[in-house]
Amino acid sequence: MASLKEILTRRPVAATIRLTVPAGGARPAPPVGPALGQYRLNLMAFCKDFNARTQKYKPDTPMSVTITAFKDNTFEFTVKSPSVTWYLKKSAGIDSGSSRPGHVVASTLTVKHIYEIAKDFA
Amino acid sequence: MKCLVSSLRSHFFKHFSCTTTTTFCFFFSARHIHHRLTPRTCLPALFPPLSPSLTKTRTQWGLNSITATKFWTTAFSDTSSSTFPYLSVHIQCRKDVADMLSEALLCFGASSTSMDEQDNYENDDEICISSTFSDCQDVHECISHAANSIGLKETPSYKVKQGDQSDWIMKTQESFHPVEITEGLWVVPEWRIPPDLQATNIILNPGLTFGTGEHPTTKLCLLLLHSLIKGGELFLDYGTGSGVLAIAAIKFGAALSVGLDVDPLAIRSAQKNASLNNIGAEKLQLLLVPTKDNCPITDEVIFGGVEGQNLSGTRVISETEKYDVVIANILLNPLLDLADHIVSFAKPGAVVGVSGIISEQIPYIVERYSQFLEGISVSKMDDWACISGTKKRNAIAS
Repeated sequence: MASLKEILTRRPVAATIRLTVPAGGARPAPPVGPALGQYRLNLMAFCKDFNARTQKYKPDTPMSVTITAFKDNTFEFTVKSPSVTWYLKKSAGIDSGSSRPGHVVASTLTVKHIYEIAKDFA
Repeated sequence: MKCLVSSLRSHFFKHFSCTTTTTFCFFFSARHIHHRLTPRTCLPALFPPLSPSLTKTRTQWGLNSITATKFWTTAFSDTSSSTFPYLSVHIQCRKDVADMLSEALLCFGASSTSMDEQDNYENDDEICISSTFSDCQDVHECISHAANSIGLKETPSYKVKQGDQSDWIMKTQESFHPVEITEGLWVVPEWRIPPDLQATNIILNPGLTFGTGEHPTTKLCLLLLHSLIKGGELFLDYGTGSGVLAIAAIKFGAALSVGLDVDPLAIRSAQKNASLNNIGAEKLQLLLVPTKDNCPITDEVIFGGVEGQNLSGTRVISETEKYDVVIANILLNPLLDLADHIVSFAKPGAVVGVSGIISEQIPYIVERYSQFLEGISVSKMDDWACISGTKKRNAIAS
């Protein structure tokens, strides 16, 4: 059997897939299904893996996932916590930012909010 | 790594990477009892009933769209989130802006983007980003906002079409292969021929439920079960998914297997799999349990598999301290939340096994379960773990 290092160094990349998936909520349905299915990746393994690794986040937190699909149908993925924008909008209780950034104020947040957000990244 | 370097969104990074080193193949494995607290984790079993051979299935799907539609209707008929409509959008753009545009598209509402890797392309060549959107999304607005946000002067050209469900499901399905768990024990997809007819072969049509034999946690649980079942035991599979563990227990010699799940489609899939293995309802009982968020299904208890007998679900579920072996292969949070519930089914002195967790989560599980279990041991495969122990005779419910 090939060693891990050999496999890692020789695998040609087939595609890069980007997705937003709720923490702990990957399931075999769109968008995860079609995105992984088109490259014949092991869909359920991804779901199980992603869900296990995002247990520490609140269930609805949208995580951005970047999957590197290799030509031999193996894959690697990285998960990033949600964008700061998402945290700010969630704290402020608004759905979208200002319609005219720099002119119209959409909402204000206290330092306490920021502190709470920062704790998530600690 | 390229994908990290290229990510231009202002993220704080908390990333981890996962490597699937095994040559990709087989089918799926993870199983789930969908978290009682989080309806989102429900995993519908999407697969329609399959004909005995893949080739035949393909033919049917290829030539007869009416049959395919019928399959789909059947497969989806009992879930409200039924058909999961989505739009498939192909966007043309220059290669040098493709990474930025992909990130931007996700910020402005795309559900996914993917790009094929092309080695011999120059930066100003046009490439295609395949993306998906949910059905209700304004695709044009998203693309124009995304293009604008990265400074493109024109909205890239794009084509929209309705997403094709059968396509990705067929492709996913092609990856299922027989898996040898240990010597003489195989998990074999329904449409493939068992490599060793003399072995214990668990025949599965896993559909899109968790528990397909390939995943390390399923393997760990099967190995644990294999070592525990000597004959005549009562076994509880908490979060049965495809029913793989419950079926395996019967094949190993257990007197009775009971599989619980919160997903009606998992129960359905497990029932089909039970009948594929010629296991009747007297041996294998399947029970749909209500979630906290989703109580209306309490009356609609699906039961007893193959013959579709209706027995009272509550009778089984209230039988605590009944089982000789209890295994739950789910996820960290439900394992922590439901620990006393899971353990309550086991007889004092019975073995309780829990899995679905990665190495770094072991301490939490050990801490939580050590109040109920003694002689805790941990088995590992790749980065995954299965923890088992014997139920204390004087366990105090938390």
